[in-house]
Amino acid sequence: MNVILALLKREILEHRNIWLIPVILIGVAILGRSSLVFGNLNFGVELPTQLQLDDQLDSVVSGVLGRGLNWMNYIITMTIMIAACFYTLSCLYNERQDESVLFWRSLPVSDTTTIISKLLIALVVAPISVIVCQIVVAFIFFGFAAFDYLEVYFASSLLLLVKMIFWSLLPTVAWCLFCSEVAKKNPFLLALVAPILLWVIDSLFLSGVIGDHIMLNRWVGFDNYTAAPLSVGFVLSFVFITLAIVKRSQRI
Amino acid sequence: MPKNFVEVENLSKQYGRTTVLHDINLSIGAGEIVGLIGPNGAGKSTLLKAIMGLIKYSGKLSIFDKDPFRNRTELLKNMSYIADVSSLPGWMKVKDLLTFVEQTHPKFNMLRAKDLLKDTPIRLESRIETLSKGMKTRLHLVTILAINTDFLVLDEPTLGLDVLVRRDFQDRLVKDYYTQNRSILITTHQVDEIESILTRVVFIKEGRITLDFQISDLKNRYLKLITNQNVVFNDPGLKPIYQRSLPQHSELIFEDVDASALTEFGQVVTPSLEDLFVAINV
Repeated sequence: MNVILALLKREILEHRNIWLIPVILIGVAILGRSSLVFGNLNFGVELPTQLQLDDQLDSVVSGVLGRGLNWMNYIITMTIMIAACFYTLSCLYNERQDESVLFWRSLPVSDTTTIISKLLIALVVAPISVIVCQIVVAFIFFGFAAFDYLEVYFASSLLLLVKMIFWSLLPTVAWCLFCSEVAKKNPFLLALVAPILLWVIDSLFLSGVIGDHIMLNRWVGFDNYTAAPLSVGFVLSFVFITLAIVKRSQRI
Repeated sequence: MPKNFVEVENLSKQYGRTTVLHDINLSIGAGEIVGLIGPNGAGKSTLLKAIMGLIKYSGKLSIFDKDPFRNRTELLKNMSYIADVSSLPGWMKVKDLLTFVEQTHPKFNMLRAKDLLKDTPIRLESRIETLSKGMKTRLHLVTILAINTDFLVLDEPTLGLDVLVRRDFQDRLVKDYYTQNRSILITTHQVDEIESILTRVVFIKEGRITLDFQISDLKNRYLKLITNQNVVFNDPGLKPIYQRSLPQHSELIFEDVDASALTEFGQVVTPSLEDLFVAINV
């Protein structure tokens, strides 16, 4: 336990820049809130249906601010999740680049423990920072009325967040970790090119069934979160994570 | 007699069809500083990787009675190693580094680390990347010295460092780490470099151990004759194992001969490790 905490602290220290993102998001929220007061913003674009909570919310808080906040929460979730992916893409690659992997591996910490600590950052610490950000932003928008808003909002959004973690974030992050460990030059390119190739081949020869199923739906969101893509995601994640651990344990 | 730390029996390693280690036998006990010396590609890194639990092998290998490949993490609690002195994470502050090692290594002693750092210009608040190469080396050594393990493995630890840093590194190793209960295994291809600190030397070439002897035996067993005369030694009892002609004189290395038989031809001295290394491995 002590070791995991030390590893998490190490990640947080090493990737200090990523922790600026919540601060920037809160800054954006303050700006957005001020503009809304002066009526300068309107929301012509509709949010994806599963993120709309207006019906329930209208009874609690005023419509315009509520819609603005929904948008803000959507931006917070997406930004932090994308940041989590970029973090997993770079972490294993960076430690090889600066050769510090040699030092880390000379300490009695197994590769499995190390990689689990990186997964925890992306899958637990990042979502927690989503929730914390959303709470702060709700207070910026509504003051003490935020309690009412958050109660209604979290009643449905927390479940959705958990679903996003299991159905979408876990397999994506596992894939990114794998790319980060094996990429020779550019993990980002590898992480991007392989799925695009698969998708092109798939839509040319297999009419897009596989591509939609294992990749695209995860990123555009499912209509129904069913067990099939979940189990495919688990299997893929397990394979990618195992490969990353094996590959790292073969580094000198 | 205390048990050996390292036991290697008939260890072989193949990459595809190439055999890089042939039936290596080696044991290291307490109180030794063993230099594993060989040219590039001799297999010394491979042997070291096997000892550090990084690769599979055939044959028998145990460190503290354990197979290093299966028990690597467990073993690292009792064995320290430095793979490369420039591998400390540059973005870290010195105090964060020490705290990290304290939290991940059960045998790390923070007081000792801070005590050792007192003699250096390194401050706890410094970021590692701002330190000079020499200071990074020093910090790495301090970190390792503060870990209370009995076996230390060093793989070309001072490669690419200047002579002052190298000498300092070696002297501190002997002064601050080495005791009769501890051992060090160190690889290098710069033979003359570490000669003075070793108690035992193992030459390795093309995957085989070509010579394994105590430094104290060097004087007793090997002689170097420096001569201006053009002598030919044909007597089988007095045959040089190596001969080198230089513009001013010739150098000949002898094994197990009487020094008095040679004094008439020129100056007789103890060969350096480098001389012997060349003599054995050509």
